[in-house]
Amino acid sequence: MLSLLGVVVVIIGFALKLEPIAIIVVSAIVTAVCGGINVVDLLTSVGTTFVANRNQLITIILMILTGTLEKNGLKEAGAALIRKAKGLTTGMLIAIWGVLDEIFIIFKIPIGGIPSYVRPILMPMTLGIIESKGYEVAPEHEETIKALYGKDYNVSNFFGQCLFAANSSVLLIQSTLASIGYEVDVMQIVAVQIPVALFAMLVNATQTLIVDGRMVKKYYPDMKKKAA
Amino acid sequence: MLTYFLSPEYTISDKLVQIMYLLSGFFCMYCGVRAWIVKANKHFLPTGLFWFTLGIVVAFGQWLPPLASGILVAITCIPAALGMVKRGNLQSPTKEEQQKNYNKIGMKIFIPAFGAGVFSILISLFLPGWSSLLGSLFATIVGVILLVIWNRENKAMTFLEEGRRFLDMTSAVYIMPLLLSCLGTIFTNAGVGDAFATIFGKIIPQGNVYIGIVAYAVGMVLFTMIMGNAFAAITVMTVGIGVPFVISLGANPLYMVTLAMTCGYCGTLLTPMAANFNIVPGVYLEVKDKYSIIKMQLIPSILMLVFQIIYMCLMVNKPF
Repeated sequence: MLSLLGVVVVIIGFALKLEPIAIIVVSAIVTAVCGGINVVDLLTSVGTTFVANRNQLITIILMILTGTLEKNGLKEAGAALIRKAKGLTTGMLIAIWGVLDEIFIIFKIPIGGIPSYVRPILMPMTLGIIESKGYEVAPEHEETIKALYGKDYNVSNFFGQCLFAANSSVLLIQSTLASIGYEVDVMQIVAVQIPVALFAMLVNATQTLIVDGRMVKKYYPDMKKKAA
Repeated sequence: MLTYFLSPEYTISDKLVQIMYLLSGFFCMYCGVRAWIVKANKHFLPTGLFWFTLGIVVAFGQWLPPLASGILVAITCIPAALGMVKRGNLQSPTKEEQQKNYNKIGMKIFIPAFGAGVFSILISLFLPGWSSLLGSLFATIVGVILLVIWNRENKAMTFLEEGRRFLDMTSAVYIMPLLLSCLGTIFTNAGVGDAFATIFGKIIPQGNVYIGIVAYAVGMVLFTMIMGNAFAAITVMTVGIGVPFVISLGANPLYMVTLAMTCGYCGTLLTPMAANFNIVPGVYLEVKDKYSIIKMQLIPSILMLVFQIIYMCLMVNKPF
C-alpha cells in the first residue's frame, strides 16, 4: 500500500501545477524508496524502458522535414485549399476543419494545430463568414467558435492518432500487451480503432453543427432569409 | 556496433530502424551542440545538456548497458525537471517567404507532407515483417530530396535549423510521454498496480467480465484525469484491473487493452492537468473562460466513453 505514495505525489504535484517532469522524477524516487527498489535497479529499469520505448521519439526524424515544409509554403497551400470551398456556414467550416484535422492526424500530416493554423488562418476566415453577411459577430458566438476549434483538434487528435501505425499510443498499446504476454502487430491495433475513429469524427462534426447552428439562430435570426 | 550491422542474425528492417535511431540521436546531439554555440538564452548550458544526452540515449540505446542508459536519462531529467530547457531564438519563416515559396512549389507541397503515412501503409502492404516505423525514415529521405529539387534554396543547414526550430518548440515536454512510460514501469515493479487491484478488488465484484470492463474503462478515465495523460494510466490500470478483472476471464486482450487506451483519452478531454491540450490552445485563441474548451469536450467525452464500453462488451468473446 505504501507504494501508492508515488501516485499521491503525482496527484498533488499536478494539482499544484508544478513542473511535470519534476513531478515524474520525484514520484519515481518516492515509489522506488517505498517499494524497496535500490538505485541501480531503478536506473536499470528506467534505462531499459526508455530505450525499449524510444520509438515514441520517432517524430524527431520527421521534424527535419516538417520545419522545411512549413518554410516552403505548406501553410499557404492549406489555406488556399480551404478558400476554394465557397458558400460555407461557420459551423460547416469548423466541422469540415475537424474532419480534415482527423484525416491529417491519421496520416501524420504536419498540418493542424491551434497556434499555426486556427488562430492565423481559420479564425479570421470563420468570423469573415458572418461579417460578409452584414452582421457583427456576437461576443458569445466568437467565444463558442474558439471553444469549438479547441475541442475539434483534441477530439480529432485523440481518437484519430491510433490509426497511424507508428504513433506512440499504438506502440505503447503494443508494448503493454507484450508486457502481459500477448504479441500483436500494430496493424491489428489500428484495425480495432477504426470504428472509434469514425464515431469520433461523427460526434465531433455533429456537435459543432448543432452548437454553432444554435448560436446563429440566436444572434442572427434573419441570416437564412437574407441569403435567400 | 559494427558487428551488429554485419551480423546476419538481425533483419534489414531491424538494422534500418537502428540507423533511424542513430540519425535521430545525432540530430538531437546537433541541437544540443547548437544550443551551446548559439547561446540564445541564459539557460543554454542545461538546454544543450538536455538535447545532447537525450541524443546519446536515442542513438546508442541498443548498445549501451541499461544502467548506463538509465544514468543518461537521469542526467537528461535534471535540466528538464528544473525547467531549464528553454527555447532558442529561432524565428518562424516570414509570411512573405512562405508565400514566395508557395508560389514556386504550390500544391505539390502536400506530396512530401503525406509521405510518412503513405510509406507506412506501403510497408505494411508490401514488405511484411518490416517495421512500419520505417515509413518516417523513407518519408524524410524522399521529402528532403523533393524539397531540394523543387527549391534550390533548401540547403543542408535549412533542414537542420528548421528541424531544430521544431524540436526547440516542443522543448522538454517532448520526452514526457516516454518518462511517464518509465514511471509506469516503476509503478508496476513497486506493486502499485497490485495495490490498486487490491483496493479495486474490494469495490468491484470479481467474476463478471462486463462489470470488469466498466471498471477498467472508467478507471482509465479517472486515472488519466489525475495524471493528465493516458500513457501512464494504461500500464498501471492494465496490470491492476485489466488483467485480473477482464482478461483473465477470457476477454479478448487486443480489443480490451487497445480500447482502454482510448477510454483514457476521454479522461484527457476532461482534465486541466492535460494543459497542453485543454488550456494552452485557449491561451493562443485568447478565450475569456479558460475552461471553455474542457466544457465543450464534456459531451464528446461521455459519448465516446459509452460507445467504447459497448464496443468492448460486444467484442469480449471474440477469439484472440
